[in-house]
Amino acid sequence: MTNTLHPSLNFEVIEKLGSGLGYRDKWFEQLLTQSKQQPDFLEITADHFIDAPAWKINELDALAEKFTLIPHALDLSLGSADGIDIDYLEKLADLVEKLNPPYWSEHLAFTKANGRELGHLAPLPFSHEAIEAVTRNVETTREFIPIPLILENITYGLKMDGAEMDEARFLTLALESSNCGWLLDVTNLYINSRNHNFDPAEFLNRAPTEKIVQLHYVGFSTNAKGKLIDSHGTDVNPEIRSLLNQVIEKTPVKGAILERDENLPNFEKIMGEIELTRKTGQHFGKWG
Amino acid sequence: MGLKEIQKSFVELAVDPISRTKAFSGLEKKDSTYAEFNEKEILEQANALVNKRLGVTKKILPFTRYHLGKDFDMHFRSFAKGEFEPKGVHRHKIDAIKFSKHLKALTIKRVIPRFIIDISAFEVTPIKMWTMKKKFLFQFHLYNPRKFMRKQKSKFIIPIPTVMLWREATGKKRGYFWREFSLWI
Repeated sequence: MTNTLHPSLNFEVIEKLGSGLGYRDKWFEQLLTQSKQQPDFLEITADHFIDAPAWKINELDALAEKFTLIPHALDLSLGSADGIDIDYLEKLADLVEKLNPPYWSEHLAFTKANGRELGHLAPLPFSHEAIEAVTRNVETTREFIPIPLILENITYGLKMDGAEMDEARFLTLALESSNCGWLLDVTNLYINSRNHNFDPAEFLNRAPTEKIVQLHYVGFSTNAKGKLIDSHGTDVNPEIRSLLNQVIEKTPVKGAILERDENLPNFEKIMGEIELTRKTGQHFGKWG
Repeated sequence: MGLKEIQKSFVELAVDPISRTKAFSGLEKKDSTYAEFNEKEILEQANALVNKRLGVTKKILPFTRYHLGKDFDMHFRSFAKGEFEPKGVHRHKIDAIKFSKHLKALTIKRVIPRFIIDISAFEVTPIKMWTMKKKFLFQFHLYNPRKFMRKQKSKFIIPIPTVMLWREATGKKRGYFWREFSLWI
């Protein structure tokens, strides 16, 4: 049977990507010159290349010659009741069109309201109204970026008032209504489960795991009050590695990205973590 | 309260210290939208946002931070209480540039040493060029910034008027490069 879905809704055509790395410019030289150990693909932070100078765009072009690049945007604020910033969306669309990736990603969150910006991802209330806002904004986005979009679950320190359901149900309905895939951040899920006292395995049983396209993972840290923090600055903790392995085994994931932002280790060390994930995926037949 | 109101109030409380003071000191009516939020949770959010800005600014201004020592954090937190709200895709870069200007004002008031202007102005030049789309930039310094680009306190800090010529990388090179011209080296 011929697949007649609009390109932006067709997740089945996305090929297996493997074990990848969130690009940080410290590793530029090694990524281009080292041939022994390399990630299978890279995720780039779209915002770092929007309104960027020529040398930064050259950097992107050099990476694109060697790797599949997945754009990951931070500031579209898809959960904003006010709608989205069209100027930012147009620039993002230009970047995505340039890279021609199999899909791109954003967050199930909001960052702006009433003309003011948080500069950080904030949680949505788990409500029908929030799902409608996300759906509306994703539809607007698709007019500019007609390729599949996957949405990431975020960490939250507080829960917004107005919840009508729990997070797993919210995620299920939001992804269904907006026709988006799921970028499951394994670390975010684990952190929320510890900080808000729930079982991540039980959460995954009720969440739309069949929509998972890609994973994020990295280590967490713990603050003085015992709360877990998504610092993106530590090696992958055993708890995260264990949950990551379970998710790779049980879901139709196409690729996993190690998302390290702080205390960047040397390239060999980071590749060691990526190699472990690659082997797990190979073991479960998720990628070659 | 609808989604729009929740988001508007949350962002206001998280980024605006004046709104927070009004909301949690009882100056606003009890039935205002702010009443829905927990003061402790909002303060945690607000502190996290300032800490994030501070963390990025420290990376942009490593030598300014070194020479200011512990006062760097104090001056940044004081700056973050002001009216400036970073916005847009270059928010962290503009934040660091504005903070550098804030430090300049402090040197004029003699709160911090004059040479701090030269270090911070030097360190924000690449991001200034990025945000202003400049390919070349001249920068005049009373103190030669190169003398402070090491994590070692100088015993003798003397003015060495210097001009820095900056240019954007071309070809396969990345970033920004500078050359200095000084009469007193």
